[in-house]
Amino acid sequence: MKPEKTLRGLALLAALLGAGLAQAAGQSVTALMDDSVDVYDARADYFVRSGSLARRDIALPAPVLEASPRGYVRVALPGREVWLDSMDVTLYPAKDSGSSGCTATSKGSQGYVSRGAGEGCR
Amino acid sequence: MTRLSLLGLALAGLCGCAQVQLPALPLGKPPVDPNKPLYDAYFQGPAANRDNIARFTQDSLQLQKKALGVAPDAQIDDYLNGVLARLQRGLPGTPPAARVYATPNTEFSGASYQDGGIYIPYKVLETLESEDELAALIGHEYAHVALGHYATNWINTASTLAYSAGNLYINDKLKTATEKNLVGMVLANNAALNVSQIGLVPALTRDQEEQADRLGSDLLIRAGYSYVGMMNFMSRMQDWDARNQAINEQRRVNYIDLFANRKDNLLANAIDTQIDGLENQLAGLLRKAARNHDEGRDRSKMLRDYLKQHYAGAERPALNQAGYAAVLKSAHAQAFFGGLDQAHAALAALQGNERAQALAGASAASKGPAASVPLVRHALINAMALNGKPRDALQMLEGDVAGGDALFADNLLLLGVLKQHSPQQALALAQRSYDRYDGSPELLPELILLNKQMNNQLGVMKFYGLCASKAMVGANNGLLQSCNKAKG
Repeated sequence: MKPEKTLRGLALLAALLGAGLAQAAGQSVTALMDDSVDVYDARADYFVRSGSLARRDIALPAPVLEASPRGYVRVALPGREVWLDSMDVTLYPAKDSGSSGCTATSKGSQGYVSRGAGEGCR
Repeated sequence: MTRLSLLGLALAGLCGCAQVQLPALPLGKPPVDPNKPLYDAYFQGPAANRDNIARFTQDSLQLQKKALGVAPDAQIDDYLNGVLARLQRGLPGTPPAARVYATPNTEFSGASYQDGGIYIPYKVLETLESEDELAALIGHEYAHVALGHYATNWINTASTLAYSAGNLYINDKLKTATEKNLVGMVLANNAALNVSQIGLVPALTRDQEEQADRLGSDLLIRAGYSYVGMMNFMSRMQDWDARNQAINEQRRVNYIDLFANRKDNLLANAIDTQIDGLENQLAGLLRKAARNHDEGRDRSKMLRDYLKQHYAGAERPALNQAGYAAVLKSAHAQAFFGGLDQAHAALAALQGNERAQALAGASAASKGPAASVPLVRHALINAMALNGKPRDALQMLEGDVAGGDALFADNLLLLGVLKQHSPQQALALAQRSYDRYDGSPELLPELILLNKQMNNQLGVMKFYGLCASKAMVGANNGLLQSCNKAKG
């Protein structure tokens, strides 16, 4: 195999792995807030409602492929992709809630430590 | 109208106060029309496009210093208050004055006080991702200020008990001052400082929290931010309450553990009175905080319904992620937040008696942009004191306390040191700290004792009288016992 082909192959592999990881670390639509949900078309810098879907027509969980800074999410449904309003759906996992960092723990009190407190101080 | 009131009005007109036009906030609860945004129930008239950023908010700032203090940084402060100003400009008239501060607290929360002080932990700033989310948090806290929500905050009670017990412990140990006892002094002060943070939890009602969510959203949208920022913020909050409970529970346990396994019965009895009272107070505070905060999920649903009802057709701009990142994800901000992390780690290392590690961490933090943050300086002073550099530590401590920026715990540390060698200076410091910290009761036993040492009977009686009345008002037997002991 020629060196440039090898490099291209490695780059493609890396990109595929990266995409897979991005999706694994991303959110999914796990529930709808109502019995039906509006779907939208993306324009240059805005979204327009293009129709609606009944709950039964959406297979959940639906992985989020893209999140718009305007609050819409692109999801894959069987045979097509649609934009939904993030206000109309439940996304999982919730937004990253950050790390509380280091909380000192006194000797012998480890039993009291629960999530969020006593994370590593080093 | 009485003559006095007329005179007051005339003076107000002469001094220009009458020109300040505050938003018309009706006294009492106005009727809320469920078909209108909450904003309409409280404010009339078009946006005045005015902002009102307070230069400082003395009362609540002093309260913060009784715990972990604030984390000033010019770039971050300008940005935070720029967001507040933009929110204020949506109100009619002159908006209530307020100011936003970053704090070195590791909790995920926000807090506001009657004087307009709004306090946001650095961990929150590190986590959010858009200016709209930040505006949602500031809008929520500013809504509490604008609506006049106010709850007696508990810090005075909590910290009085915490520092008093710590002081009893310190005073007893100082009778035989050794390096080992300095460790105890440092640990007691640090634990009191952290446990006092629990007392800063504003005990607002659930109804008030919901109102602040709604009015905060109104202000957010009127300022041209995206309400998606509010929903993103709520999404993050789903996890926060449980974490905050865990952090505060750990602070409480750390404090209580300090006094566990005591051998000295006399001291144990004296401290137990304080500790029992403190444990009850803290448990009550933690329960109350949990009760009054809905799960983020419930609040999200309530807000979604509100936004759908009133703002379904509102313009939805793109979240301003770039503006937020430029300031709060910048290399400068990362170094600043990193310095605060190092200070916390240094204090934790001290608690584990890993002194060299503590000094290394505190020194590193003191070389970065967080160098002037009082908690960072506190960590360095403590680490130097316990690493064979007591002179350097004392020099820094004296400078910081004299400058007025030091944490309350540092005032007490210096007081503890001065008491051994220079009671006159100690008395002057105790008096200054008492005035600066709004008559902090935990200083009263010190003031009685030091006045007694200086043969000032008038001073002894004055502060004993104050102690007795404060102890009665606060039903604080421990404080009274301490003052009795000091008076002899």
